[in-house]
Amino acid sequence: MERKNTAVAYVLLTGVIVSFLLLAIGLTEAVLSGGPALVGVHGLRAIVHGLLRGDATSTIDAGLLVLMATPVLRVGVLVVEFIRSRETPFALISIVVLFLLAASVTIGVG
Amino acid sequence: MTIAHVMILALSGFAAGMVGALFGLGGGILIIPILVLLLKVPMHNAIATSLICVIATSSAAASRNVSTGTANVRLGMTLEVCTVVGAMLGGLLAGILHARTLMTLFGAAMLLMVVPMARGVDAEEGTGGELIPAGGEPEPERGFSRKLDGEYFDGASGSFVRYSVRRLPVAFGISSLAGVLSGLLGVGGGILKVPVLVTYCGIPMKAAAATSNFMIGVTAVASAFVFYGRGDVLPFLTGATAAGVFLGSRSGTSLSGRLQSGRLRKAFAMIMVITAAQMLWKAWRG
Repeated sequence: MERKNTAVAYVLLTGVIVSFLLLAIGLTEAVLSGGPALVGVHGLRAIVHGLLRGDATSTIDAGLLVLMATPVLRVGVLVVEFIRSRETPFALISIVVLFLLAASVTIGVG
Repeated sequence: MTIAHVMILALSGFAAGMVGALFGLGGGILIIPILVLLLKVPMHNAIATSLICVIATSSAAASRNVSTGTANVRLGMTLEVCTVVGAMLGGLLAGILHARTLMTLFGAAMLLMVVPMARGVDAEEGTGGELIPAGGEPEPERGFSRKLDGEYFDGASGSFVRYSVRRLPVAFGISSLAGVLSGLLGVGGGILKVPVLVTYCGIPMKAAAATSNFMIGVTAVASAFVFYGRGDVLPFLTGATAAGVFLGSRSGTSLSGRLQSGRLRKAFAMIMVITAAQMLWKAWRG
């Protein structure tokens, strides 16, 4: 198997497992506390603060952000791997996709 | 929040994830009707939830497909330029369209997807396209598209399958359209891409399905951030549904070899027709 395939598979699997664990913990916390979590916690700083306090909504939000970050990280890994293997056209294509995703993140998370 | 709320959402996600994995779908086409028609979730929140669930199913399945080499990483990255631009446009467009318009578009798209669904988009129903057997000589110079040629090991035949990618502009066109649909309606778009990649671009079914699956996570995330920024992603709703989808898609994958049949597929196509009619009815009645 190509080295880049191994790296991509590892990133995707790790992202899925970490986000599932965060979602499971957050949902358990929400059920145990009985509080509503209908509105999201916005901004990375607020999520980190909430996580440190053990806030259920922040934990669920962190799980969702990890899940959304996983494909972005996968593109980042491919940029590095294509540069390493000197496949310039694909490195440039991956950089363009990463740039587009960065624009989307900027629109969304700010 | 009670355990009953979590269970209802997680079970809905589980059902959508399992059926999606059984029929080779991202799951969005099932999650949205469940959320909108059964659980009365507003359309924009349902689309946002569906996009996150598509990321979950895609990432889980892609990690397997990339390991086995079935997904063509170079082709997937190249087409992602089109799907991501399309998805961002679709996501922005969804923000200005009324929920009833989105419901109408979703119902219509669902009806259009019934035919490829009934025929099958999974890897078990033939290879399609032109295959170059392992050991065969590749075509002479074809410019950039030659760099996209792929090879994977086919467990069923016990041999390597090598293939060439043809008509790249067609692949770009269908990827852009699939991206817009994904961002606008919260679906993966694989049901649209896979038949075209097989029929017009010469990519074997297994490679086309795996490459499409590899792409839809990145496509969905491009518009998911747009929905997230608008506050359409509700953490409890999305978190519980996504957790169910994780588990459902894993169960569906392990069941798919034993349960899949043409009759089951046609029965599901019928359910899609009925669901699409209900979505259109709800859009019309408001």
